[in-house]
Amino acid sequence: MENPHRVLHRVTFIACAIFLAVQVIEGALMIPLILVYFGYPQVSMQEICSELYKIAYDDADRRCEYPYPLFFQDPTPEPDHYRSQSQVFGPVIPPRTHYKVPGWREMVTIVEQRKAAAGRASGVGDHE
Amino acid sequence: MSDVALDAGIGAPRDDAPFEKARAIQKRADRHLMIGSALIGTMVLGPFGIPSFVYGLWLLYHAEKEGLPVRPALMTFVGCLVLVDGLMNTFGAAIDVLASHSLLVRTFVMGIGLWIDSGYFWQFNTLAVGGTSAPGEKAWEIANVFVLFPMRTAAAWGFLSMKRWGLQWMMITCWMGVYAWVGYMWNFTTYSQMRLVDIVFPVYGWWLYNLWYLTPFIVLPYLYTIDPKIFAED
Repeated sequence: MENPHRVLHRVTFIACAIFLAVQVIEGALMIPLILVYFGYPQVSMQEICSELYKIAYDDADRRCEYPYPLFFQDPTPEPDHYRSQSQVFGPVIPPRTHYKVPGWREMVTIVEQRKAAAGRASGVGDHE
Repeated sequence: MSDVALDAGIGAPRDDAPFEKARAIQKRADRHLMIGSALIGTMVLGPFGIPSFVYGLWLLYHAEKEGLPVRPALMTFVGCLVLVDGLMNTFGAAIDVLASHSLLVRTFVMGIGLWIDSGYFWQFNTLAVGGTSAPGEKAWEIANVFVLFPMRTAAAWGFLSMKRWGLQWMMITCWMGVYAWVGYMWNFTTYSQMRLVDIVFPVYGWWLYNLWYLTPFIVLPYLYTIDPKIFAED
């Protein structure tokens, strides 16, 4: 019997063959390619890593600690050990919002106070 | 497939030897394909995966040439594509989630970040959970590593084994893949100013690297055109 989806199957076959070949090459060769791009083996992996750190954090003092301590003695996140990040990059994500969150029905007083302030500013007696 | 083929000519005198041979070759080829895919999927051990993977394909190619009833090549390609895609995304993203302080991962992930996607470079390893610090990226990674891609990998394996559930789960997980692509792309594009500027290969580099993972879109139409009855029910 003639396959009614012959064209679709042909296209799928070619597309799958190309995609599969590229995926296999990428999966197998991406790491060596990146290492070679950055100068391996003349530059060691740790040196590459350290240089990348210096670029990423724009800080010449940063280096790639290796071996990294398996159990952190200090739970402080890595950026808090350094001063430079928000100075260099501006506000970090997620930003600290510093909102004054209203309490239970506090909005009533807030709105009343705001209205009173607005009234004072425009002069309450003027409209009468 | 061979089960179905064996049941086809009831009562007819027949030589079972080709079926037995095909079944054995199929099993051996699938084992090589699986081992190869898994090694390629780890990225780190990738180069060692190619010989096994190619040998698996070669076995099937020659069996088909000999006229043995092995799984059709198109089905093998579709299954393998999803299998490699699933494993590469499972392991590839898992190393960023779980091994973000190993030397190789820091070098590789930050390296590829500086190449094509600053989301894997900017403020790398600075959140409570290590690895990428790009807005939203971690959430997609966790969802992909722990839900979507393991499911796709299992589905591809079921599909290659010609199980009915494999076909069904291929459809389900390919649609999940469409969902993940849309969500991921929108998150990615929203923060493109931070992710796609001041890098080695901006935008086109990302597409050259990631285009090949659009598998759901090329596989889905095909999945709806094959007869579920040729898949084993168990």
